[in-house]
Amino acid sequence: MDIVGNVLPQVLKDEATEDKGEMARLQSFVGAIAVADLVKTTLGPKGMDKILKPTGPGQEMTHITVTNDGATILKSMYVENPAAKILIEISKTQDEEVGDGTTTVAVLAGELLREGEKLIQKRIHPQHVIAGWRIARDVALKRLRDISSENDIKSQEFHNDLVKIARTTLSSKLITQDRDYFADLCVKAVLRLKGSSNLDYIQIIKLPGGTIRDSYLDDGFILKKQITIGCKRRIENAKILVANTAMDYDKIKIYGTKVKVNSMDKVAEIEAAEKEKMKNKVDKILKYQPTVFVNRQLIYNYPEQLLADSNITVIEHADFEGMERVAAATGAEILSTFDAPERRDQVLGHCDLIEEIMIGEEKMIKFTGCKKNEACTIVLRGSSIHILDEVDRSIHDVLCVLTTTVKNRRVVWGGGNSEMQMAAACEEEAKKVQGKQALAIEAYARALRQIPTIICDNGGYDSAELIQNFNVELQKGNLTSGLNMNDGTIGDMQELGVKECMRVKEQAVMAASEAAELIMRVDDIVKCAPRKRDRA
Amino acid sequence: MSQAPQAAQQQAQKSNTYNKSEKTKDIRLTNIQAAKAVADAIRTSLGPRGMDKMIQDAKGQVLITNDGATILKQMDLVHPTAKMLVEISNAQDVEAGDGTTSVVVFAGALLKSCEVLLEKGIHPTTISEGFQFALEYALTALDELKKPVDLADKQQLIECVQTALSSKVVSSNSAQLAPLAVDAVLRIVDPEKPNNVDLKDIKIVKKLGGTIDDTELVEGIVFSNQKASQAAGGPQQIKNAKVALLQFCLSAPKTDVENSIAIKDYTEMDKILKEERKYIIDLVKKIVASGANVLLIQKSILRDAVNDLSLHFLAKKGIMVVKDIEREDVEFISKTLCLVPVAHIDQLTPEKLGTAGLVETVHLNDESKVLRITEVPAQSKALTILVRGSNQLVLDEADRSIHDALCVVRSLVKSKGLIPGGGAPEIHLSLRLTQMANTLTGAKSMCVRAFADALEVIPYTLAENAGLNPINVVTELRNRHLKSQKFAGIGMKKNNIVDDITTEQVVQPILVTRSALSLATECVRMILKIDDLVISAR
Repeated sequence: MDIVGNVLPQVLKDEATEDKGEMARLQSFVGAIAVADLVKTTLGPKGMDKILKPTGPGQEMTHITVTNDGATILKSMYVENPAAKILIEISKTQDEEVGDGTTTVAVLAGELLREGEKLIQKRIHPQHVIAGWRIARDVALKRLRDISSENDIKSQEFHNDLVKIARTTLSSKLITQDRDYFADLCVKAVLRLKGSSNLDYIQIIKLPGGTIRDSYLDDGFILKKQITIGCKRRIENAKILVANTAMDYDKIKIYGTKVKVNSMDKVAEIEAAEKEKMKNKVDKILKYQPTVFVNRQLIYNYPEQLLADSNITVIEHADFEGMERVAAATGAEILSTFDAPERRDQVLGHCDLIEEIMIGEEKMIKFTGCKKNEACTIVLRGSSIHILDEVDRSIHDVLCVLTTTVKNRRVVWGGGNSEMQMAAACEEEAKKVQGKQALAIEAYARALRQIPTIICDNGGYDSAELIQNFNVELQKGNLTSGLNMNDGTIGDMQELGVKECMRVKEQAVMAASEAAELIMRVDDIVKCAPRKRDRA
Repeated sequence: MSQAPQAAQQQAQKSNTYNKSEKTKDIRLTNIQAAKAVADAIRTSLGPRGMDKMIQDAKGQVLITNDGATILKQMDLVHPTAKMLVEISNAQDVEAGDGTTSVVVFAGALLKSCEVLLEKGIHPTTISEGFQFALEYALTALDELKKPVDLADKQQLIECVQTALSSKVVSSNSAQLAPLAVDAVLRIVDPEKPNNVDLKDIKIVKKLGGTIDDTELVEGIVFSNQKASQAAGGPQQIKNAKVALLQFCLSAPKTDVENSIAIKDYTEMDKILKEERKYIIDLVKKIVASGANVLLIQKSILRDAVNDLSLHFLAKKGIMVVKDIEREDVEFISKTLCLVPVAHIDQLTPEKLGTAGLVETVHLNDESKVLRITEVPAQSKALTILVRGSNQLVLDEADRSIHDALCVVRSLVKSKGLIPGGGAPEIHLSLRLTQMANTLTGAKSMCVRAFADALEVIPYTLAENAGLNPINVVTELRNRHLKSQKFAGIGMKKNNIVDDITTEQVVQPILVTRSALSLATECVRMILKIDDLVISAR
């Protein structure tokens, strides 16, 4: 019954809830803004990290994560609010699309909604707000493209651009002090790919011990496995056969197979036959004339010995990932049957040298001079696994941004420059538009300007003054000015060498606007009754 | 499950209502406090006069140790930042093997000084940068104390190991253990790769009984659990042994497919027994033909590695049989004896055998027996240390201490430099950094100075643990270093300050200090950068 006493028909199931109109909107605003606020302190070179601590029974002792990466934080957060979930989704998408700007996108969407809330309070219909935002977005993106520059992919300038972009991306991460070192390292790795964006060729190995500075780029491919005993530890000009096959007896997989015999000799014969089967398989493999045999599964002692006797170096128990990388790097095919030795040239991989190396306390196998020369390995060292994980994430971000840049080639100035320019463009547009949309366009500009503001705030600088000065510099026509976060002043981004990838910004603006629009349109939230689980 | 979403909602509400700066400050302070608590817990075990800790684990097992890494590992910490300190201690263990306590104590001191800096309103990233700057300067300043080390000069190496062992339970035995560790590592250095050694090539075998004095270095292999078979009077001593490592079994055949032998009457049973006998005799014949007189047989879970019958025949032929060799030991054995493991009887050929001058069951001075393989080929690059101890606790601690000692030697192989011990390097660096801080301005200067102050925690704690007046000692040391006595340190022999600590043979590898400083700084910088603790679903 409602307050007046009318009996309402029950439409929804028990336990299902519905929020309508203002309530629904308010709920989504609060959720989205809360999420955005949570991650916004990680933004910028002076941004902070978060500890992620798993909860739940038996989870207390599991690994904690320390990170600055927006996507990682949001991914592991436990939220129920549907709007907050949308923000998490766009951050994930950003991560998959371009790899960086995952915090920016969530924060921008949050700020847009904060502005949107104010507009709604002024009794402007959500549809008008959305219409205004759409105009603003197009104007902003156009400006973004206009201010971006492009260099020829082979030129030295482009190489410099890449290094600068890598430095900018790294500046907000844990390894900011060593950013020059890592920027160089990442650029070298990406340039090896020669335009391909398959990051599988860049392998990252994490080993605790040493300091971050001890990390290095190794040309060639490193497999975290050991060469079997009794084999050669150094193979030059190797022919590699990569396989995924069971090297024990090919067991008949029928449940309860059993043989009945009437003498011990027969048992011995069967045993011999089983051994013979293994030997046959080895013989088949030998027909391919490899010098190195890599198998995903365990290789039993007997076939191992046979192979070793034929002077083949055996690497057993390479996991799926390792095996696939070996295959990709050396240009081998992964085999599980061995009946076509005539195809040997196609299926065998090749590399100039395989040797055992020692990193820290661990022995590993290094493949150098692979057929596909793109492969390389980044060996990360660091004092703890937390640091290594975080460096891994940072390096991954940088690699993603760099490959995106190699594909797109357009770059913009960093230090909040692009956001401020986009905001300026929106404000100019707002003056030309008639109707209520103009208010929404202005709001969009304010939201964009929040990004540099937050970066200032995180550094503990006076954001109000800095942003105003920044704006004045831009109006004066100093189009390369930006935030100098070392001194808390407005500096020349050209001098400081702060550049960013245009594609990352573009994607962030598009995704954030889309998400904000989506949440804005909501006026009704229905939560279904939780599905009952039978507890037997 | 229902609690988690609620908590998340509360979290969401909190971030709206809480004053943000206050919250982040709180998180930072709790992080620092937790880390400090860990550092305080183990600081009393630092130095030669440091104390040991007794730890009772969840199962009620008792452990007594002085090794920082081990204490922390056993402490079962929950707080995230406390766990990070455990990790750096581990990393130090991997990298240098020693200084696992110092690294945590230093990290704790650094965090303490952060607290003061944060209160002054210096931004955490500025502190972080300042520390990094200070660290780089400190590492270059450390080289001023460095003395080159010559691996041929054993005496120097031994002194170094003695310093490392001085804080352990086994310190009274250091005169004996130190040369042992030095010999062991130098023996396995590969001339082709003179800058690293793999400590896995040194196997530490523990055997209860005797005293630590009975610990010895064996150029060969010692098996404490596996024994030579005594069935049918099998030989217990073999000279000029030809050793075969078998990865197949000497027992009745067993197929992978399930089998059963159906017999109808008694005569058939006889036949089967005969066949089994024949089968085994064939195997033994082939072994004899290969010339092997010592068999090491890998453990098999699927079937018996040997049976009475095969033992009997082998004993008759005068062949020693050792069964239950672990799979992990196979590589070590093949390295030591220069042999190739054999997986099938048909492949058992003379060139796959290893040689050893003597294989024998040795009665140690008490009841216990071990099997010992000695006089191994000269090109062998692996050896064993047999550790003795009167009880399990001492034995375990001796094992850890020997590991530390080996690591110290390895650090010297890795980076060939020695620096004085006894708090001298820390005071030296602290002074140099303070001098440098005076040339700087701004927050950076403050941070460098804080770093310098934190360094003094090491000599301070050393003195405190030795029962000296820490304030007097540290100030006195500072004074002496200012008068450019840069080797002045705390001497534990007479509990006083010594003008040149190296005259008391207190030296340590440069790698230990270098890695402790870098690891601690790296970790502190990470903790500083954290401003929030997010409860996550996974």
